[in-house]
Amino acid sequence: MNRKVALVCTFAVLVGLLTGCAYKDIDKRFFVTSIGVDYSKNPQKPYHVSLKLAIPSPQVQPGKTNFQVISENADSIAEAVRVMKSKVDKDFDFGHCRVLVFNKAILRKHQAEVLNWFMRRRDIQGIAYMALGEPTAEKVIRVKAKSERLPSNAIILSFDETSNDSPYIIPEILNDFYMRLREEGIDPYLPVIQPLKDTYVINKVVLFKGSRLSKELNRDETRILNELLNTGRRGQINVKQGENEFFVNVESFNTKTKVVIPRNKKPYVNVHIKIDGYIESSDKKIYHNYELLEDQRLASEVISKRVKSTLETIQKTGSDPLGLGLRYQAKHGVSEKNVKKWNKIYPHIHFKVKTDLKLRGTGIMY
Amino acid sequence: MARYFYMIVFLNMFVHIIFNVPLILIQHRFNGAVTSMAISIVIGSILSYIFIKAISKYPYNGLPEIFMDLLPGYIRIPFLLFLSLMWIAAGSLAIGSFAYLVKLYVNPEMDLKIILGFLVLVLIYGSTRGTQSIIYKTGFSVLTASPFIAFIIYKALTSDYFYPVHIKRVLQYSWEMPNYSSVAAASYMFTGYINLVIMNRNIQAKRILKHFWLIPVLGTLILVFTYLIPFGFLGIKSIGDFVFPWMVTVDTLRMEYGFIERTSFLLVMIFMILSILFGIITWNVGLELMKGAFGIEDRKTGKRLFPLVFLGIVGFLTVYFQETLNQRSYFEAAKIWFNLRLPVEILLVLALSLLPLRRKQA
Repeated sequence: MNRKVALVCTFAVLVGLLTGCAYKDIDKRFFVTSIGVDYSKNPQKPYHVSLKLAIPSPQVQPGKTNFQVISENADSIAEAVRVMKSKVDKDFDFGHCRVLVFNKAILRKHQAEVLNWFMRRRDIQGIAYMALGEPTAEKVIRVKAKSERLPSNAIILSFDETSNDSPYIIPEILNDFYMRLREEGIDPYLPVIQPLKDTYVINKVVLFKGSRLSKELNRDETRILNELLNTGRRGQINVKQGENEFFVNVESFNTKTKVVIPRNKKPYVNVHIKIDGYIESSDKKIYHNYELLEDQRLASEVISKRVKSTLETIQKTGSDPLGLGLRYQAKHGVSEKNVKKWNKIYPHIHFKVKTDLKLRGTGIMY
Repeated sequence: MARYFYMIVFLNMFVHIIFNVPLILIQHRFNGAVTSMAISIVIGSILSYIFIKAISKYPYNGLPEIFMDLLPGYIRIPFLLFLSLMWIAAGSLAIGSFAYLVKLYVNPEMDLKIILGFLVLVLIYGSTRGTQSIIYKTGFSVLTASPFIAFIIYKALTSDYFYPVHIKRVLQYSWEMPNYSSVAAASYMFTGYINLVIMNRNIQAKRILKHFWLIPVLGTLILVFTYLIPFGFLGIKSIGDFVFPWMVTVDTLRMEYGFIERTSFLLVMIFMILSILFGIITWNVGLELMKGAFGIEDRKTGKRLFPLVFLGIVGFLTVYFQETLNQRSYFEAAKIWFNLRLPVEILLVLALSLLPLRRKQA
């Protein structure tokens, strides 16, 4: 009996220690939901950091998102955040920060330093989405999307595969970006976000060569890059050959890439694409199976041609987002010499694209 | 009871992530980590087989009782004391590194002393219980944690950001000379069996030998997984930039349908279950060895104070140690412990298997 009383007393004391929010209550915190970093044009204080702070509301309703954006120029991100603390009444909490937006100028000038703060902070999630803001990161952050229920939620949802599988969006997360940046043989990329009045457009991607910004891909090239990266985002493929135009709705898309270095012959890259799909719309009626097979053959050719030209466009920029260099190293050894050798091979390498398209049917019409 | 033994072995295999063994191996990734791992798999399996075989000849006896007949007092007591301190140090180092993780990921505004202090209190409470009930606790802790571990490994292998090509690249460095540090660290994987020195009182070692193949198989699998998966996410160069490669690796995973998206919190929870359990087991074994060395049988003679005082001092030293050292020197200390552990383990196994032979001859 005595023991029980003692136990109850101990637990009563221990319960008092369960204060929840680590000594700082939730109403004394400001949740930063996205961070934007711009170049400020002032060489002394190059970082223009903007934080999007969520203002909690009792009701979560579509379109009722409430937030505040504050910005500061400083000579480092850490300094900017520290100075900004004096602009608000509460402590910043980066635990819910899921979107990091940069602009082109800061990535050109201070690529190496910009990431360090984010990687080192334990409360910035490794799964935070990274993007390039055009024209500036701050403008992207300031957009108030009409459908948004929580601040920054619109961008998160568009990058999230479970809510939006548009093939034009290639999400990139912080940890993956860092790996691509540091590793030789694979290059990073960033999706480009452009603000509209009440929403965003995300349909382009910008490539890097090493750690330097390189060319931007257009919408269609972005889609093909997405397919080559095997991200599981599927879309439609349109095929147009003379009079005959039709759309293929892709069910599954699988790419196998192989770097082949034969002796005495020119090195080449084998890209083998496997697509399963249905015809979604077609101008002409497809009565016979041979017509469907004909369409299938036609579509395969068109896809192969498109993929090849996209790969060549990427090759011309010198960037390697597919990690072909890694594949080369995995076979021939990782060393300075091999990296240099690959850098010589890559600009002249030949792409052999083969597409296996399987049209499963024509929908509910002939 | 044999299954509890395998759970303890399994627990040790996972606790080595908290101990940052992958970090030691990753630091040696270009000079012989893979060959060292292969050697340590052989060493670990052979040692554990010899040890279990040797101790199975003394059913229901702990090491203090076995040594009672085999060794004279002036060797037995210092040896048991030394072993006890090695065990206690293992628990302290594990709980210390875990407290550091909690401070980093869960409770950044709390004082490290307080976090560690509370963990030490839990350990003191747990490790003064009877060995039998600790063995039962092992059962359900490991059973609770293993589905989450399986989930994380599944999540990692199916992730979009997992690049098997990095693993192929790092395996290019396989044929290098092994080095002692890596062998000592990697062979730690197999050390779970050594807790039999006390657990033998409750677990029948003979039954264990029936399923002995589990140890090398499980050990190899887990060692390969824990060493190679971080490369798939972080690459072979950038992996060197991180203090806790596994935490960063798991932070690359996203649970789309979970209550929380950040998988690293799940890992912290698994670590919490396992490191507290590990601390309790090692401190209990250390305590029992200490009692064996001094011949204290507490329950009967009413000397219950001894474990509390002893563990109180140990707990205080753990907090003090953590407080004075910074994170770098803490890991250095752990490394020293690892390097010391392998010879001590070999010595213990040899002593246990060779000493009875000498007696027979005499």
